Amino acid sequence: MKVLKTYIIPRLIQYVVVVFIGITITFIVPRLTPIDPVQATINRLAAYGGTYMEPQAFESLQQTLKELYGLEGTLLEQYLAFWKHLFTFDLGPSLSMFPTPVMEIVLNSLPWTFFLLINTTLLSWIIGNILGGIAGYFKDKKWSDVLAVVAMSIYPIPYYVMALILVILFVYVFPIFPMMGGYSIGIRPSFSWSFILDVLHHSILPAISLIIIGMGWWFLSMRSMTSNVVAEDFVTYAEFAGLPKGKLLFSYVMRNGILPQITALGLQLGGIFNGAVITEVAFSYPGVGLLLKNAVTNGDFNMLMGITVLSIIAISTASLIIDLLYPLFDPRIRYR
Amino acid sequence: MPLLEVKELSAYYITHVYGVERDVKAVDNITFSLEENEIMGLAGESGCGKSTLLKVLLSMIKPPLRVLAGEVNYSYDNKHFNLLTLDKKQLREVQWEDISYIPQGSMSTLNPVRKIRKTFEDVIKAHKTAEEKEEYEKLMEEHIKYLGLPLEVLDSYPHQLSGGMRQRTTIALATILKPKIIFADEPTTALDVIVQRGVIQMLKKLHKEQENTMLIVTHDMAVHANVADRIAVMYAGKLVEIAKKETLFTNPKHPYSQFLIRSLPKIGDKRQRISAPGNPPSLANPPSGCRFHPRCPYAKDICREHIPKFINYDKSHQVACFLYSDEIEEGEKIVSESIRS
Ligand SMILES: Nc1ncnc2c1ncn2[C@@H]1O[C@H](COP(=O)(O)OP(=O)(O)OP(=O)(O)O)[C@@H](O)[C@H]1O
Ligand SMILES: [Mg+2]
Repeated sequence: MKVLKTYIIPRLIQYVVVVFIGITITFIVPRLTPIDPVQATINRLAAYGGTYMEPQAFESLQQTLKELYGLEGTLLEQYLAFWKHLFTFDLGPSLSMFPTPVMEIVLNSLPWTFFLLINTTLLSWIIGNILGGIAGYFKDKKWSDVLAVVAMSIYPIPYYVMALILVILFVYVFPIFPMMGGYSIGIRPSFSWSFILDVLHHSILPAISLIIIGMGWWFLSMRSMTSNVVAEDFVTYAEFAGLPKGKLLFSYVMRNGILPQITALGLQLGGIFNGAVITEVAFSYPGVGLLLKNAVTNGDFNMLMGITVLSIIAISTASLIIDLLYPLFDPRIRYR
Repeated sequence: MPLLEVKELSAYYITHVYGVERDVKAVDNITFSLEENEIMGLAGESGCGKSTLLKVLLSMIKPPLRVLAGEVNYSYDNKHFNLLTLDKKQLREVQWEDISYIPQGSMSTLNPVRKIRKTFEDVIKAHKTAEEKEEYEKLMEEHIKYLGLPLEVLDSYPHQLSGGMRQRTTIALATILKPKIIFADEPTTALDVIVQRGVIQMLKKLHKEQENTMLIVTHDMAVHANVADRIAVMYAGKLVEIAKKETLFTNPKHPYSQFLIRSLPKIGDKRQRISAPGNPPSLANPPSGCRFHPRCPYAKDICREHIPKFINYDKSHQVACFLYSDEIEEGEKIVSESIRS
């Protein structure tokens, strides 16, 4: 098991280091900004209430807020407390939905985001790569060029424009899909067929928008990848050996062209939270992205920290998993 | 009847760059034949068209390579055909099974993510129908053992094998179906001397026991001296000389062959070795007349104007040079005109 020493263990160490640094940065950055969340909250409370506060009450309020935000004590004490809370899965209470813990809210939204984005990322990866692989293998054919032109014209469309077009087309002009939310208002979440179908119905439009945009890139990159592999000696040689087209395409051409795409998939999966924000806002889909947007508008400090920390962990974990799976696809790493 | 008869074969790489046509005349009016059970060596400097000639003889023709004229006739086992006129299905029946190929640069001829065993299976399955898996499993193991390779090779990936082992694996793969004729392109280049010897011995063994015919391309004259019966010398897309090995080494006729032989190191010979002066010509824009004339110490006026015919110097010795005959190559004009059509 040389892979363990040369590949897996270094990769695990890298993972721990990346998560550690990422979380440390998340801890430091807000403390470098001139905005004092305690003061900001007090200002807002004052704006709502507008009443005069006793100095004593003010003191204790300030103290409580500091505790809530983990801003008590020296920087080092704060930092250690921060990690202690993390290890007990305690990210503090949300301020806009006080006193529900941030952890609970995020864990409620996370499945929605994962369900939508992981599925669409995988689907667009699979479809895009299969089509791109075939188009690259037959790159001399007319239809391959046509597909490439289509992909090239879809790929640069800004995502929100695509989302908007789909909403206008399929919600207003042809009202096939519902506009709002992850499921119909009035239905209680449960494990019933009708609920699952309702969720699927609501997620189709955001899913399509993500798949269309995502697929273009996978198609184009896989097409150029395979059109290079086709020119490789081992493919020409296998063609000369008279192997059937299907075997050539899948076991020789695409099997080699897919390798860089697997690495790219890891990065893409790590970045799903980026995609989540716009999609979920555009389709009012109840995931982490919508949560993040609301946290920003509400100045929900703990929530922002919580989502950032969780996405750092999720992103690193996703790319770790892909990297650990990679040797299964590439024998050159498996047996070095 | 010879096993392979090549007649007036021309194949160019025809490319268009910004609307300007550019022809690389890599194989130009080549005629020769190969007898059954013969080993012919093909020599010539880098870029003179050796690999291209092989590709045409194997019918591995893909744009921008195009065959403009000529025939590639094979005759064996009561079969007679011009390979260039076969359709895809007919080609599949003869390629690899009868006419096989060991490509140049064996480092990249095996699928890097496929076990060697799988690659062997793919090849056998593509030609032998509905045989038992065990049967061809046995066939390949026997062949591997027969060629003196360790069986572990089958369960390796290409990157796990050394260069020499990979080359020998490729040879095993190319000969698994006992082909009639094998074209080997630089089978020993980039290998160290010891490994080279192993590869040569393997080819010789195959030749002896499978009773096949071989065309071996290499610019290593030592390899030719070791294996070839006859040697063909190619210069800038044209054959300039074919002779028995002994004749070519002792009495080369074409000035280019003379340079080739004289540039070889000889034991006890202290004279400076001379190689042909000047640089190889561009095949896109070759010199007029005899393509060797700018580098030839004996060049005459006729050499600049006309292409010498590939004539029989004697029964088993052909050469294309005006030193030995004034005959001019027929169809000198025809070929260059037919490109435009
Ligand atoms: N696909 C191609 N398109 C255009 N020109 C090509 C192509 N392939 C080869 N050529 C040119 O054709 C000529 C002959 O190439 P070829 O590979 O047959 O030479 P070679 O004798 O095998 O050389 P080497 O000893 O280096 O293998 C070279 O000038 C080369 O640049
Ligand atoms: Mg070559």
